[in-house]
Amino acid sequence: MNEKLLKLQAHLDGELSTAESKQVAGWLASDQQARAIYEELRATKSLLTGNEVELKLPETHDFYWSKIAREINRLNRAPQTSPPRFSGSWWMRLAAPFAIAALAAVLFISVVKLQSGSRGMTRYFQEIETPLEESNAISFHSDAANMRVVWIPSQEN
Amino acid sequence: MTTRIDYSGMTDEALVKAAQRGGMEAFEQLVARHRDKIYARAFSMMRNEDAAIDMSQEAWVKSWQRLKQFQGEASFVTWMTRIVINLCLDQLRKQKRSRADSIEQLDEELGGVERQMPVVNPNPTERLERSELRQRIDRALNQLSVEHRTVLILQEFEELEYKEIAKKMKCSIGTVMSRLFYARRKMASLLAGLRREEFNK
Repeated sequence: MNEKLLKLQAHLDGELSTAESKQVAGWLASDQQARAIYEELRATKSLLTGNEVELKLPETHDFYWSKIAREINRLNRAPQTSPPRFSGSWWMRLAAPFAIAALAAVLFISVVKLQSGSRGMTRYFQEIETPLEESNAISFHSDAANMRVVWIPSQEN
Repeated sequence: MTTRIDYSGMTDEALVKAAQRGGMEAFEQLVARHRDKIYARAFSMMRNEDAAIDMSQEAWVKSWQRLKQFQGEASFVTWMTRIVINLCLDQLRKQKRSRADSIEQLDEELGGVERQMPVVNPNPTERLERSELRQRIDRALNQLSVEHRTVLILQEFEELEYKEIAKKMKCSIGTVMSRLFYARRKMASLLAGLRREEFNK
């Protein structure tokens, strides 16, 4: 669109710098077409100012308010389900995934070392196994306690 | 014995403070005081009674939720009006996604339409009562596209600066300026047409 026309309008709306306003004033003094358009814009603006139609809410206050109050009460009763927000600074947010990955790696290495390194530690591992799946039997075995328990549920049906 | 507080005599500021402390009755008084203005702004943008009622009620609920954030930089009613405008703009954007652009918009984007319009004198005030003039301005606004009407409402009635309008409408300042220019020229032509009708009676 013609930049000159938009500047005329911006002048009317008080959006121009002093230098630009002087430039527009020069156009208005010398250009009849610019003056005519400016006058039309100005007349339209002044016609609209303070002449917005006045409307009344087409409902009674009680009816209108009841829906608002109902919604507010519902919100007040609803539990706060939003997840806790992470409030760290940007570098903490950036570093968080790396920290989690590093922690996971440390845990993984520790577990592998624990399993393969010291044979004596394996006695603390206990197992739950189901050797006879069709019979729903469950067995529990502990090296530390030197025991094995087998539980067979009764077949009532 | 409990004492009933008379909220009707309280200022908006006092009512807001009471509502911020959880006073629903104070908030209801604010709704009663400003419901017409908030509804009218919603209607001016949505052009539909049911949609305007829904938007205005949603705005009141939202304001209740955000009431603690209200610090009193602007008046309460200005703050409320901004909330309802934002909700209406969101709703209009959703509606726009599901409809094709009008020919009028395409014309505007191609450029030149507003320059082809003859310059008119949009001054029908001589023979009209103020209430009738307002009705006619409203009818003329109704003939504009959503984008042109919205930019005019935000500039002329809400007195927002170009950059604020651009931010709200999620477009460039240049787009705001061209839409505003087109909208004013179209309004001038519609209101001049009304004057011609008036003389032909």
